[in-house]
Amino acid sequence: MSLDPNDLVAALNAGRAHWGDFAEIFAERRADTSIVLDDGRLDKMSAGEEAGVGVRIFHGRTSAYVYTTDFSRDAIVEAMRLASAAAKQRAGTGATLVAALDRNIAPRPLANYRQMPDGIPMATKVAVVRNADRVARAAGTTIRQVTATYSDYIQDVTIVNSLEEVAQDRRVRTVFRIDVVASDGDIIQTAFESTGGLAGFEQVAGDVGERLARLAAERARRMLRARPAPAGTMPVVCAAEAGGVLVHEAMGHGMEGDFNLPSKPMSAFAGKIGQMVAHPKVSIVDDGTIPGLYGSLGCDDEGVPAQRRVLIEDGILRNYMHDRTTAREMGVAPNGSGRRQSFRHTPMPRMSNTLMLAGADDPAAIIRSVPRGLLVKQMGGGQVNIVSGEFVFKVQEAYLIENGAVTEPVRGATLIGNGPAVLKIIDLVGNDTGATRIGTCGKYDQGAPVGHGIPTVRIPEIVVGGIVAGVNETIT
Amino acid sequence: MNNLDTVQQTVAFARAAGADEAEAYLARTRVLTIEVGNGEVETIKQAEDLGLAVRALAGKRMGLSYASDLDQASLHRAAARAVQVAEASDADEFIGLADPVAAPNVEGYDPEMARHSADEKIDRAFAIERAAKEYDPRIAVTRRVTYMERESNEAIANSRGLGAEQRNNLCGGFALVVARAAQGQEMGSGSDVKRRYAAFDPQAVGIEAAEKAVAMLGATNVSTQRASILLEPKMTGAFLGIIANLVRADNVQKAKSLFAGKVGKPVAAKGVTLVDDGAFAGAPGMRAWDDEGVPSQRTVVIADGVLQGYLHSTYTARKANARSTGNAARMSFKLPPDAMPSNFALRAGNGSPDALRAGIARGLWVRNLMNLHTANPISGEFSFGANGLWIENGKIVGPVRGVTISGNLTDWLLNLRGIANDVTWQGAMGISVGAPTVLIEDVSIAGK
Ligand SMILES: [Zn+2]
Repeated sequence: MSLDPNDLVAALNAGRAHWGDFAEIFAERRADTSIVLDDGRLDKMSAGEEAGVGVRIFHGRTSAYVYTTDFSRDAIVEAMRLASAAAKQRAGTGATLVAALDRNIAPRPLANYRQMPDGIPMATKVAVVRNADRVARAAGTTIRQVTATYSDYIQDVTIVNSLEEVAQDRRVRTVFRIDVVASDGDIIQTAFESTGGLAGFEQVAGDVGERLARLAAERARRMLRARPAPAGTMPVVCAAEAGGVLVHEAMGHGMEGDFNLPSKPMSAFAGKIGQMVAHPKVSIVDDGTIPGLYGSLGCDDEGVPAQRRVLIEDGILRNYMHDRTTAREMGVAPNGSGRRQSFRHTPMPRMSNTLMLAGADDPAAIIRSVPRGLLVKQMGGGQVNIVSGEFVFKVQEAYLIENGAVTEPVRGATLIGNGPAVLKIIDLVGNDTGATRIGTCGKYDQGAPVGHGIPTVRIPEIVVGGIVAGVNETIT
Repeated sequence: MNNLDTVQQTVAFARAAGADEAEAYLARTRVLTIEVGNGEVETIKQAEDLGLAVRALAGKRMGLSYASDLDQASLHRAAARAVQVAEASDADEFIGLADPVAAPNVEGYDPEMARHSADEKIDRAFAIERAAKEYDPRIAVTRRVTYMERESNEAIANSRGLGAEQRNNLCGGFALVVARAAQGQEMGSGSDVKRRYAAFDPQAVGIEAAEKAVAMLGATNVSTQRASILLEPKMTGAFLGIIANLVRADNVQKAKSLFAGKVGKPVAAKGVTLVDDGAFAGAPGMRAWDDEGVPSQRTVVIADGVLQGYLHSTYTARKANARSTGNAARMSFKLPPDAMPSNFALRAGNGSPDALRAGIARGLWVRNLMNLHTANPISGEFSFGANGLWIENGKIVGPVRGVTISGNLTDWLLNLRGIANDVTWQGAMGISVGAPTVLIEDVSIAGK
């Protein structure tokens, strides 16, 4: 089971007869550890290793992908033969759409991991979840259940292709998450906190887990006292610690290359490079190069070095995120967005760490500017409809703003709006830098680790989904 | 070596490595995915995948490890690793493996799928795209138009003498389309999964996607209010997938279910009957045994609104002094099994969906929901983005989007006021739901 580039290049060359217009081998080895402490005991523990090879062959515009868990040269050549035959079977008429690397962009050095997870004893990892569990439960008698999860993986990839490009990357990611259930007998509320990075065990070392456990437990208890969020259209302020689900959903996905192809325009941002698509105070980047962030990587899964992509600069749309095929169709260089979940998947344009850059407004003044609205302190999961631009995301923690002051907590809010429209009306952007929160972005059938963050921003008008008061109010 | 020999040998390796008891599970999966666009093949994906999982018991502690190849060294390593993981885990008196019991005869494998040529399957993908484009000239773009097949060969063995094999396959299609007109652009998707090659209709998938996109053109918003919602079968199914969390015994035992302690009590409107049946003929999740080797069975979860019981794995059953209902499922071979639904269905009512719609004074016919993954099955709270068609006095007024529907899952079940007769199955192997159109009254709808 070799990820040695020389072996893979030899296998690629041995299958030269099956190259078609472009041939690529993606080889991966990945070791995972997963620990779940639930209901006061270690509930699920697993550790293991898997490895596989994916071969992609293009004939014209048509590609075929064959993967196998067999690393032998014969198996790889056979996969190339199968892929080539499949791609040739009904190959399209157009020219191949695979872009070569921009040779001016140097490969990035492998990330530096201080505490490799495979060198950390299982008992040390277990202690992280046990300590967090203890701290969360100690927060009060209303804490009814705690689930603490630790996971890490070491993923090694080697990518070689018929353009004689060779790339290697090692991604080590370590994640901790705590989920807390609080109840006062009538109402049940939940809260969670998480941390994760392109990092080894150092991501969760020390009292990180305990600190997050305390935060989650306090939030769950606070939400027990919260009334249901109001429903309707109102101004919303997103705090800098809220995370950037807003930019990820409302803006980021719509700027992925495959949604903006001239042959298949789907996104509201298609064809708008160079145009004003946002308020001039808004600048958004997607940056896969920031050390330690969850969505960072050395190179993407097509071997293109990770980059910082300016998506929106002072309101003007500058770039899309591209894999090799979307870059080629749009006549630009691939910019490091071709990611895949594993050797079982084909690459597509994905985000890494999507960040709105700080502006010039005073965060406190932004809150003071709202007569009646909602302050979002932590966002939850979201989703977007690329075509209509409609996006929605859950709010984990929110407060009412009344006469410019933050008052009581409210629960259960959801924001729904139109991405392109919201971008234009965001009118205040704080001079603070947002905390980068983590998520697993789902696109079609693939998940990808991503980060996102924003400064404090004001959206003057957006629909807040909550409970509508009525005669049959039965929500408890 | 055949699959059964491989898992039996792995069990022996785990015992030799110090396990008091052990189980090995092997899945070999064959996948074929054909994606087309603008009349050309874009991507063909095919593979023979495999994953082997070992669970080892050290006393009353359990650990899992796995391998992605079957050479002897890998099997030994996975077996030894499982024992090490078990030794680092916590003891629990209820941990255990399944006893060998004969499984029902299930026709899970359709040999037709292997008999048809790749060329014919490519044409199935093209047929999806053609049907979408021919449905309406406003269909401007098609995306991810896909025909897929999946075949799994599974084997399981444990040290209690269990040894079983099964073979299942399915086929299906998916399409995403964009309808474009002066008023703007809208997306629609269509999908279907079938257990028999002949039962899959590519045209239906293309038409579903196109119809949904075109129907949304010109969508507007409505004001914030409480009104009825009519859920089309796939949307009802999405809710059932969330409600299934309430009847998972592991959630009940961990105080994470609002249904804890409610057996024998009314939890849904009269007329609501929910059944889980792993062997249900033709359902996407049809299989002879679950991921611990326990035979599939029919479990009535809610009968006429009254909670009857929960869905069990071997562990949760032992803890509840009950029997496993054959509901253990592995999300991936890399993770231990959980109690999960198999084929989870809401029993059909009598009337047609049209009759239900005709009775609505004011409400939203929901055809798409967003952010389903954010429902909170523990508190029961949900708030989803919704779009669909606005209904007044039984008639369609026009498309609506940009609203949310919010409430609590327990109220959702109690406020079910109408169940139609159009049960539709959806999902993939392992998790599948069967659901009809339903009417729910007095729902929070937030809009402009
Ligand atoms: Zn995403």
